[in-house]
Formats: sequence, C-alpha cells, structure tokens
Amino acid sequence: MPPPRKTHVLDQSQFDQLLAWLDDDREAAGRRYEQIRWRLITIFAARGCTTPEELADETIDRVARRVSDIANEYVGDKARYFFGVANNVHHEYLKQPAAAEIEAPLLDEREDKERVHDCLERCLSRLAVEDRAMLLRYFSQEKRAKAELHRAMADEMGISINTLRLRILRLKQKLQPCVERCLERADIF
Amino acid sequence: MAEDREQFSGNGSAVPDDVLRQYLLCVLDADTRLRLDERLLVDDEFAQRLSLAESELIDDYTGGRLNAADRTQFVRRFLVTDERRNALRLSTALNAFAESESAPRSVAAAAKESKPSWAESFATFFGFARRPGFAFAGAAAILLVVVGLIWLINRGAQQSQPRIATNPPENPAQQQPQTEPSPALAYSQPSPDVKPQPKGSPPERSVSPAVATLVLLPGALRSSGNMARIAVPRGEQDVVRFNLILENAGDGPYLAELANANGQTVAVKKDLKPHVNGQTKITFEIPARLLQNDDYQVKLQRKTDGKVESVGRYYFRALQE
Repeated sequence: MPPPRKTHVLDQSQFDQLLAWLDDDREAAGRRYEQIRWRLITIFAARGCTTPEELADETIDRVARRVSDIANEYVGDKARYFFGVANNVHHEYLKQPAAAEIEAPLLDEREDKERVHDCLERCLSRLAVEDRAMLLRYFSQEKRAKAELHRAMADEMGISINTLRLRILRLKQKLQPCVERCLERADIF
Repeated sequence: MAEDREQFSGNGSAVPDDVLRQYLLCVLDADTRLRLDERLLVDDEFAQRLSLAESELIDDYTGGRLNAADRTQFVRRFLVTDERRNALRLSTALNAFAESESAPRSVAAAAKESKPSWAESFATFFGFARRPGFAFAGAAAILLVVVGLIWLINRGAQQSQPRIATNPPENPAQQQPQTEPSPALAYSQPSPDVKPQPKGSPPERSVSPAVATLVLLPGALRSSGNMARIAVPRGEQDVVRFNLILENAGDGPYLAELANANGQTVAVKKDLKPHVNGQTKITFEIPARLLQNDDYQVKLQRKTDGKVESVGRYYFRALQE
C-alpha cells in the first residue's frame, strides 16, 4: 500500500520547534527524536505495513506541524501524542488500495559478498581484541550448538545470557555504521 | 494468547521472548499487538528488549534456526525497512566470517590426523619384517643422509637472520654478511627479491643498518600467548623484513597492508611478487621506526583478472628494544 498522501513538507523551523518540545537540550532532543522514530517504524512494521519508514516520518511531520498549537497545553507523556497521530496515519493507510507486494531481494542477490567481507574485516580490526574475539566466538556455532555456546560464554564471563546478548548487540551497533561507510567507498585498490 | 496477555497487562510485567518474536513477525492478534504498540512508545526498558529481540531474530534467521513459517514471515513481513535489511547483511557476513576463521584450522587438523605417521611410512617403505638385511642397509644410508643434512642446515642457520631479531653487534666486524642496507620507505616501489651477499664479502659501509627478519604463517592465532614476536631494532636506518609464507601461491600481483591493533594502516606495499626459497613467500621490508610496541596484522591480497581476493592475514607482536 502506498503511504498516506503528504499534505505538507516540514520546514526547518517546525523541526526545530519539535526538538525543543521534546527536550530543552538539543542533543537530548535529537536522541529522543531518533528513539521515537525507530519505535514508530517498529510499530508500523508490526502492523504489516510495507512502508513503515514513510509512515513514521509522516507521523512525525504531523506532530511537528501541531507543536506550536499544543506545546503550552499538552500534559503527559509526549510519546503518547505521537501514538494517537500514528493511529490516524495507519487508518488512512488501510483505506488506500493495496499495492502489489514486492519481495526485497536477499543478500546474495544484491550484494557483493566479497566487499562486505572485506569491509567487515576492516571494521572488526578496529574493535578491541577481546571484543572481536567475543563477537566471532558468539557467531561461530551452527544451529542448536549456538545456544549452548552462548550459555557457556555467559557462564565463563560471569554474566547473564541477556547481558551477553546486549553486549553483542552493542558491538553490532558499532560495526553497522562502519560497514555501511566502507561499502559506500570505492574499491580498496 | 490470553495467557500471554495476562502476563504483561500490568505495569512492569515481563513480556515473554516468544511474544516479542510474534510481534516482530506480525502474527499477534490485534488487541495484544495494540497493547505492545503503546508500551513500546513509552517504556524504555521494553523498547530495549524489543531491539534485542530484533537482533536475535535476525541472527536466528541467518543461523538457520527459524522454522519454515517464521522464515516466510521474516522475509515477507519483517524485512521491510532498510535498517533491518542492513542488519541482516551484517549478521550474514558475521556468520560467514566466523566460519572462515575457524574452518582452516579444523581442516588442517583433520588432514594432519588422517596422515600416517612418519614412523609408519618409514617402516612400510623399508619392509623391516620381510627383508631385514636390505632394510638395515637402507636405514644406514638414510641415517648418513640425515646426519649430513643436519650438518648443512646447522651451518646455514648460523649464517641466516634469526626469527627473533637481536640488536646488531656494536663491533662492525661481527656483522652478518647478508645484511643489506636498504631502508625501503612505506608506499614505495616493490622490494626487489632478496639476494644474500656472497659469504665472506665485507660490508660496503663501515656501519650497516640492521635487518630484523620475521617469517609468518597465515592465520596464526591472535591470542597473545601464541603470536609471533619480533624485537624491533631502533636504528634510524634499520628495517624489518617480512617473509609471508603462502599456502596457495598465485602469480599476483600482491598487496600487503600492515595495520596496528587499532586498525590504522601503517604501511602498504603494492605490486609484490612471490618467490620460492624453500617455500613460496612474499617478501618486503619496512623501516623499523614505523613499528611501535603493539600487535600488528598484515593483510595480504592478490589481484587476479581484475578481481581482488584476500589471501591471508598474518599476525605478530612488535617489541621495541
């Protein structure tokens, strides 16, 4: 389904007002903005929408346009306001005719595995030795053996398996932008 | 589903992991999903758990641990954002990378186990049980050859550079005859093939720079206990010579990239060609002053028909004297 029709393009002053409404500190407001955006995308994706990013941006745009009206009156968790607007955006989305679903091609049809491997190698080398070792060990087993390995790793490190997973997630979040930047560059030679 | 709803209807109650997965795969009933939608926006701890569940779901997909129904939902319903597709790409690459890190050692270990021991081969060849006389004569001949080879190797080892470099002797008269005054710069022309000076020939200068030589095998362990080490000479003109042993030799050209533990490139050598001196190897030199007390890796790549392929990685620890 195509996203709801955009009625307005957000300008810089409206965006600034939105950030100021989210938090007095601009950096904290920026982080909050990213958090809310990710959560809205997840919500729309969980509802089966095929364009969750666009729907999330439309939601944020509409809230930004209303901030000047509600900033002095709205009381409560600001995220809930986004939720109400997101529901309206979703209802409009459902009313529009469904577009044909196009399955995104998977990795081996789109990407040069060699380049990804090389970029990953470069980015892994920038991690601390022990972080790199932990990450590669975490991914080293197949299927069922992996769960046992993760439990063993958590026991060895004296942490819960959830904490181990969180550490792995943080490392992956560090690797992700590095790999993306590397892939955007020209060939190594 | 009703049971699941009860579990997380209250404040601070935990949502089971399988419910989080169902949420991500778009298979929850509408009421339960709506409740989680609202919680996601306002509950930071829940949002973190869901982020973790996303990561685990992607890793389970790339690791082949999803059932058929979940795999279908994953592709059709979950992979709908660029961020998730990029995360899938990273997870797939990590799986492949981890596998490639462990496979060569496993294969090598298996090959080693299946080979007959040298004693078995020796006994079979000479057939000690069947022809003892011939076997005795043959063994004596072999023994003589082995003793001779050991003598020759010892003689040669005394004249070659040690793997662990030592400080050059202060007395110029005691310097090794093979020392070559070639302070090659990083990023410069390829190093020429190493040609030892004739034995006994005097050095061309009264004080020659030291050449610390390191022979490296590919894929050596990175754990600090097993890493090759080199004592780096501190003279301004001193160099470190690398001999990278090739397991699968091709014509090349090769490119060697030396990086420190932080991933910063220290030196790059291009257009390297392999040479055979007992084993097939790539040899190049860099100024010793480029190396600090640190762990390093040399990444070797080969260009064949315009395509670049990774040949191997070589690790070592540099210790400044």
